[in-house]
Amino acid sequence: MTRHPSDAQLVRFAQGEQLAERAVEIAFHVAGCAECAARIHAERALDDFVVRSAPLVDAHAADRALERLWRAVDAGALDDAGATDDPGALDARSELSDVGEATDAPTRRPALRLVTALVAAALLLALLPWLIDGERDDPRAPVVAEAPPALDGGAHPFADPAPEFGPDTDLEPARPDAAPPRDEPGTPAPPVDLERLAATRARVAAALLDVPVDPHAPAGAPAHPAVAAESVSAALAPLRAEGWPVDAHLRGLVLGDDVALAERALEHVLAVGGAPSLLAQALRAGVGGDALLERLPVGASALGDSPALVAALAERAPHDARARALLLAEPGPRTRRALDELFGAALERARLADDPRDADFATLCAELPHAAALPWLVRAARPGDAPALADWARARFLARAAVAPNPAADSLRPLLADAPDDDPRLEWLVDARLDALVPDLAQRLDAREHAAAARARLARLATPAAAYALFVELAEDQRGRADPHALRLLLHERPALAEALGARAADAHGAALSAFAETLSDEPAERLLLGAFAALPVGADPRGRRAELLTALARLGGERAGLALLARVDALPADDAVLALAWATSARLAGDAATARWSAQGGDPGTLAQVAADVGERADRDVRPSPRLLRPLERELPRVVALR
Amino acid sequence: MTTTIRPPDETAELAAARGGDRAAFARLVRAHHDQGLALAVRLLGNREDAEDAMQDALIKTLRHLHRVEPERGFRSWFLRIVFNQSLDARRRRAARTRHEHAAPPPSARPGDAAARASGREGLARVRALMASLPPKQAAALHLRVFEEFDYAAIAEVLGITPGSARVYLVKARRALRAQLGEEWTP
Repeated sequence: MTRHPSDAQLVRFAQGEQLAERAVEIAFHVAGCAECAARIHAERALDDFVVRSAPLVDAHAADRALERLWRAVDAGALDDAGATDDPGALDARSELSDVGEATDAPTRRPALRLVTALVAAALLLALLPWLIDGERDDPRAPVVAEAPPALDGGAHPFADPAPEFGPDTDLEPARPDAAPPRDEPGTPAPPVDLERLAATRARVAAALLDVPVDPHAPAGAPAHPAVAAESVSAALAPLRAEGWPVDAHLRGLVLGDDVALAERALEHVLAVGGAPSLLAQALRAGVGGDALLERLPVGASALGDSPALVAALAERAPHDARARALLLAEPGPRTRRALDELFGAALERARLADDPRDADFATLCAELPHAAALPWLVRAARPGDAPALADWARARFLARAAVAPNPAADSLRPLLADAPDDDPRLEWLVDARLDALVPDLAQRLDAREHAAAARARLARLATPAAAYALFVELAEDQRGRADPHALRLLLHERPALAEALGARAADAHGAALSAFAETLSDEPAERLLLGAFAALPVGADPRGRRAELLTALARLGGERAGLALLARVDALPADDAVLALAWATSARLAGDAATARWSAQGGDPGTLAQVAADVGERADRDVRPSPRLLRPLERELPRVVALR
Repeated sequence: MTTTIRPPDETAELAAARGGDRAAFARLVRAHHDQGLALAVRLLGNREDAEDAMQDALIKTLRHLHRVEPERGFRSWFLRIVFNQSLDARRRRAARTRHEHAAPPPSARPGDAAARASGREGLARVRALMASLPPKQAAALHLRVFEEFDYAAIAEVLGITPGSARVYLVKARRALRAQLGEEWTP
């Protein structure tokens, strides 16, 4: 049941006064109650929660948007003939975006990309002698090649099919060794018009410089990226249509000496999705500065797929948090290697100084998500050489393990498999109460050299959940290898666990429970089984759990168990009552009490004694009593029941 | 029926805008800009990204103005462009900020009186939850609750059937209830 807000609360909210706690509830009602939503909506002043009230916040948003639009129009952005997007439909990838997932992966078919790359390589090789422009002397500048116009005067067959380049259109020059032989049929070696080459470069530069400047942005800042992209794309469209690889010119401009032009070109590259290798070169060359890092497509597959970009980011990572964030956002093998090197180096420096702060190791770890940081903390706490660092790492590990116990367990699991017993890091699983590691720890019980330490850790670790996991490990799945000493130690150390285990044991397999009971003969074990027995429902027991528990209790043979059984006889169904009575009679010290009870209720003590002996004998052999064995008691049962 | 509520002169404005009348286009856009911005904010969770998406939407709107069917109205068509642009922006941003979501999103735990007592924190949480809904659910909820669209109008904006719009709305409310209910239900 939800509560409806009062009118006063609505008014207070609607009037934009300080938001009170009840406003939160009102917000909830907005989501869940049409009536409340209508009442709130009627007030028409909904603070920033109801963002529809944009005019209340900014009366000029529409004006500014329109102003930017007209500037783009005046700059020719909408004249781009290559724009074919349908406003009424998402782009093809957006069909997948209902869950909000990024799908910036390349969409061109691999075969098409391969053909395009081969063709570009052939073209580049053919034109290489002629297509070296003036930036060749700049060591940062790549060799830039231009595609010739088609021989037949139409659209060049090698023209870039995309109106603009995105993550799947790298500007890296194709490798010469990937090109077919120059004299291969179908690969013409056309003449090069150097004048036209220069003119094209000039037109690309002009297009970039003509991008309108946003008067509301900081001085010199380019226009809205979308406007810039549209504008430049529009200017470049005719060149593309003629088959000129203007992307190469953009590369040359980005890496050129004209800083303003370089930043404009880079702006455009980023606006249309970025070309990883070019962005990497720009990063190394210092073009765009921090703004470039801010606008890199974090998490886009283009980043992780580009060795050049990953390498460029790795170079900056030691002193640049943004670069590290970009690497962290990419879970690929390249970024992982780069991060491993980064953290490994920082850890070594921290270890030498025995102070994580001296080497920024602490800073790096703080930036990592829990799952990624924990293994580094484990490594940082390697015993021996840097005690202060180890203490620091231990504290951080425990703090993070409390938030992310499963990743913490994962990070310690390799250690648990290999570390010697005296490795202090093994104590972390006790301190952190990492239940998920209990089965792993229990496995060490099988190894003679680790058994004692493992038992001690298990005993100290055992939370109820961990104890149950241990129970499963030792009794249910490894019946033949159950370790009674470990279990006794466990329950002696933590007697209260018996009840908890008992409650869970009711769900356990009967055979496992019997095996477990076999390991126990003392008071905690007795409490455990009685707890399990009490937790069973009284009604139907199709899986025979009650009989299994009774068997286990009979094995205990203690007076307390027998008396406890007797106390429950009246609550049991008739057949279970008979069995319980027989087992209680077979118990070492409860036999007299059971016999007295049976007699008092009209049963024949001799019959009970005979059956109890048979039942006890079978229980000792782990055999459940057959119905035939119990039949003598059952024959007397109606009379007994009648006397209840 | 919000689908049929249009300025009486919208058709004329549309014709004028198609003919290059910037003032007419501006009037058309101004009439629905705030609705579009609100929808974009709802889907993107912040004003900056929403304004970017709106800018892209305006360019497309102007470029493809000839495709508007006057009988169906400018608003739905315009909002659909905004919706699509917001989705694209959301997708790009999801890639950009994937690492930021590695940690669980902040949430007011049940019984956390301090968090509940802070109205702004709570509202931020509601906003974040709405922004984290699947886009069509978020848009359907926004259009229904804040814009009071009927199912047909929602369907027209989202490019779905009215029945689907109803389903999205139910799912959105159910999702919010599931996440908020324990915190705020007595």
